[in-house]
Amino acid sequence: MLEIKNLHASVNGSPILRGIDLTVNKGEVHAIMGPNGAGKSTLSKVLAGSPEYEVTEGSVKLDGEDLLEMEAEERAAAGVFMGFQYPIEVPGVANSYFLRKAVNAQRKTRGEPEASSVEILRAMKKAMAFLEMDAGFRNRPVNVGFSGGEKKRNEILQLLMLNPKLALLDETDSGLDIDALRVVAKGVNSLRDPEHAFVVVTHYQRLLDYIVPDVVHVLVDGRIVHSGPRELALWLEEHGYGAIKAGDAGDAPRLEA
Amino acid sequence: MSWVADLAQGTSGVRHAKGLAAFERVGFPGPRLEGWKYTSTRSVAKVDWVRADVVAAAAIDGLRLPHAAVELVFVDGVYQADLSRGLDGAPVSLEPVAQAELQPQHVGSEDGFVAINDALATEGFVLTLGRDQVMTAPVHLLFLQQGGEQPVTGQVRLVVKAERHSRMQLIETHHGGEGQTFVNELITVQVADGAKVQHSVMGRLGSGQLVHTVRAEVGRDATYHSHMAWLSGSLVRSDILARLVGQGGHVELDGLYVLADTDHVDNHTVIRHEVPNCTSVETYKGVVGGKARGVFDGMVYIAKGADGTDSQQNNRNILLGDHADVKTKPTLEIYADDVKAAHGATVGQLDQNQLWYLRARGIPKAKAEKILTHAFVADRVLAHPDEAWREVLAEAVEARLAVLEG
Amino acid sequence: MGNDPIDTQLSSSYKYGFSIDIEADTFPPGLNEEIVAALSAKKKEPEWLLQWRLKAFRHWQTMTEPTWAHVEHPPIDYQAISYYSSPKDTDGPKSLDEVDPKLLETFEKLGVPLHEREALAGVRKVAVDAVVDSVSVATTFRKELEEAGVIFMPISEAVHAHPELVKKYLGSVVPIYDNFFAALNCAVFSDGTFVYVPKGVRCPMELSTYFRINEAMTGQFERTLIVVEDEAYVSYLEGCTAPMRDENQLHAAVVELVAEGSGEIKYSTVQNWFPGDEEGKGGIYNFVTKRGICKGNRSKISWTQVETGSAITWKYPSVILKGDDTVGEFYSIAVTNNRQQADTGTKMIHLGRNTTSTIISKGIAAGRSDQSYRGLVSMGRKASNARNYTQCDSLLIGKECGAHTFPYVDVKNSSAQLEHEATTSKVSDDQVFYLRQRGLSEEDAVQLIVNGFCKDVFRQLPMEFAVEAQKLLEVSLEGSVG
Repeated sequence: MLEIKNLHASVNGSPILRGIDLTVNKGEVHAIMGPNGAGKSTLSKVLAGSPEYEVTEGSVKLDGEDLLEMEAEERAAAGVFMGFQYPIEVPGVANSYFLRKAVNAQRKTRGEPEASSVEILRAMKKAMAFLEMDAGFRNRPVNVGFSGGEKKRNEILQLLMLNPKLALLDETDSGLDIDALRVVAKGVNSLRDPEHAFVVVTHYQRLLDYIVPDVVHVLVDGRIVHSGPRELALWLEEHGYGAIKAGDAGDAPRLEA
Repeated sequence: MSWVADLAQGTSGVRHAKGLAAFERVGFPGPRLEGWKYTSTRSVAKVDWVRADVVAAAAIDGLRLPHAAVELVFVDGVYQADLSRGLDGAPVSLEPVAQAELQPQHVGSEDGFVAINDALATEGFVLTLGRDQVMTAPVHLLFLQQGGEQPVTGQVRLVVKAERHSRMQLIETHHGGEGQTFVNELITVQVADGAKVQHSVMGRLGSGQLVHTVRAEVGRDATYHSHMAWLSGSLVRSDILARLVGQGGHVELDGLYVLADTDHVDNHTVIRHEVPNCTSVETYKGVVGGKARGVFDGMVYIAKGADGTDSQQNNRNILLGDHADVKTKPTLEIYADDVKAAHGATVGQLDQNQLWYLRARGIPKAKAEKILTHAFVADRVLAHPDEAWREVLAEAVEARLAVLEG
Repeated sequence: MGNDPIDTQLSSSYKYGFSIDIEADTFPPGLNEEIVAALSAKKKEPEWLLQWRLKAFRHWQTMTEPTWAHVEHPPIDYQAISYYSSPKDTDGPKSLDEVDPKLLETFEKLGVPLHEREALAGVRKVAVDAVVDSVSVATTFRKELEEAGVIFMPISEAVHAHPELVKKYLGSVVPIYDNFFAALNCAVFSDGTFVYVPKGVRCPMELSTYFRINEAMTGQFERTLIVVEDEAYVSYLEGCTAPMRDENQLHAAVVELVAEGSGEIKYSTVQNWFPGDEEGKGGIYNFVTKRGICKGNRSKISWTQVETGSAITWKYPSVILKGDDTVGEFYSIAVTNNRQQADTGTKMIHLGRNTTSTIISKGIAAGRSDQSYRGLVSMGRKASNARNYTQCDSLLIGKECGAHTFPYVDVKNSSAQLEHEATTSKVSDDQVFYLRQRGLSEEDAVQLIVNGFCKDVFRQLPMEFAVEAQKLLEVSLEGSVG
């Protein structure tokens, strides 16, 4: 589904990604781990089309289409969703109104009929109940005055409503207590099926107890330096990034060739 | 013919002539000027002033600042070399300069008092702190308005230069008495790249009148921190124009006014962000009672292209009694798009809940009011980094509050 | 202007006969006492009103145009403007059937239902008075309003039908000497709306006036006077549009509101005069004086405005809080784009005890426009326990625009409390990216952010107007991003 080849990207002229190769197939969950400043967040932002970054080399294909040629909103309509590490506040715009706008904007771009307000509201109520969100959040302005955990739940609510092919979750676990983490994971897992794919960016392996990945990649200095099965995350938790960073993966679990 | 023209006779410099011509064009500022809406200049315009001169003696002993490294004394606006001290061996140098070198400052502006200074100042000084010099003890400019039998006026003209990466602390104290006096001071402060100038002013002018004009220019990564405390004066006009001309510059304007009787203090400040990525913070607080008037007219101007500006401006006032008044006008003028600017103003009385809380704990009303009023102004005193100066200031503020509270 | 000294004016021929053809549908350009007198004669006005106009005109000649506002425009030639233009016959239509179908069509295009049955089909009733150029062309629902005791008619008619009321209140809030543009209006106003709501009556429907400038080279100087008695209430909506012209046109209206007893007036404006083209050519100069007085104790006046039009706006809807316990409110959204200039704000003059005022102003500047908030909050010696809260926020879109805030605060009473807050920010790149990531286009993203920014004010508008206002915002910000 997603095919990244030799991706280089920089911000204000300084390179952050220095040649990423990654293939994600339908139904798979990939975790991206790595030390601070490795370029984990940059990867998801570049894939989502943030104007902050400049792609200097490489290609990204989504189901054969050139993702890098698309505007941010076109990528969204094509099925790429990014869960933000720091969800943005939009004062004065009610959550429900925003979701209605977003769902229908995507449908319009795809040439599908728009959903009615009633349909969307019904789906939203259901999703909110599932995510154990108070009904009051419907009318509150997007992310304004939300606690860290509430913001992350709100991201997952949007994920469920927009139902993308590919979800990029950028440090979705940061700042979450264990209850919120459980709910967020429940939301993500409910979408797991042979049609959806996920790229989960995280600093800690804790999240991966709840969202169990098929593959774990280690990103260091803008490159994927090691890939392994789910157990790799546990190994990293124990050994840290030091050895891998130094180029010596030792007995770290690896993917079978 | 106004007294300005009278006193200008006998001056001969080009600057004098230009200044006089400018003054004759603009005259004394009046209410028709936006910046002088709330202050009448009649008490300056309608007096036949004579020039002040060097004096034999002045009662300044109690007014000296013991912790100052250098102390320059001015009586009625005239520099008194014999009373001054500390210049020998100090890293800072004071040079009287020829009139021609003190360029006219009145450049197309409407400022009548700058024009008067251009026209009449016969002496001027440049105070320089060299590159990388760090002065921890302050330079004290001691101004006494003591007057005489006739109404006297003096023109003060100073240029302060803090060269690259130097640090200077400048403290001006202005003392007045009961004589009829008027001092017109123009102080230009040049803060070179990486330098830091802490410029503090305290005024206890009584019946003295002071027009105090600051023109500050702040270079790259430089800081200009002004700290004004006006504690009495029949007419005080404090005018500050601080220009941020190098990236990374920072301007901080702190102000405090505690006014009683018929005090009149007009604070007029302009912060100009002319280049990107500078910051400014302005906080003025006033307690105004008796029949006094307190004015705050502060503008933050953000020029086109000055992106990345972060500016905050705040003026808070407590009005006591029914005969005082407060005029406040915090304004923003913004031509850049990537800016963060906020301003605010409040005028009110003491927080009634706090007052009630203190009284419920057994503190009598008058005492409780005093505590809260004191607390309101105390944070401006605390905003000053020099502990020795804070003590002097706190005592003076305390004394003025005591007058205010009867 | 000013070429003719007053003495020449006085000796001119108007006393002995009019040199102007008062049957003409449009007066020739120019302004002198004859024109003023001809205008008055055209309206068959009583002598007192003619004298009132002449007094204003003579005073206006001694005044100079104010220059303090943060706007720039070439000098206005007051002699090049025509001061009267009637869209149709002299007597005016008696009913809608007599109204020129072309005019009806114009209003339909504007979304203003002049046909009562159309309005009736809606959920809410809105009585409409439509003013084209200088003349009121249609007032709907008059009968129903009359039954309720509400007077709603063109002011030119009210001068004849209710002279005692008009005489009592006209110029009582905005005196003829008030300012340059108000004095001009007093001299040459041609029509406008009069509303009177008697004691204890809640006006049964929203009242609305739509103003439209049609003719080229005409000035529009309408005059609105609204009076509510004790315990009465009215909600009044004003809408303004003008077609595209190459020349700038002058609009200098005066609106006076009087709330007696515990009366309440809610005055809403959606102003969409032609703003000029992208280069600033054409467009309306909108120099308006709007002021209300809360005379009685516990009365209330509320101004709500959404301003997207005009090349230049100069406007400060104000409230004089004279009675005790009175309330003044000002909610405003001003959008400027391209070369528009707006200097707008409010004045809250607290005179009575326990008076309260609220000011919420949202300014959005895009393109190469320039926008200023200018406000005065004054609390007099006797205004014990007066309260004011002011919040004015500016949002910048693009790199070429300017946003300025000039609040004046003047407090003379120690028990008064005032709080002013202001912020200026830009639409952040992060916000736009977030919304685009969810599938919104860049334009939609900006619109959504702008709508959110304005929500506090939209909430104050009557429903129909809120929808219209949002649409206007979208239209006027078109092309402002990217």
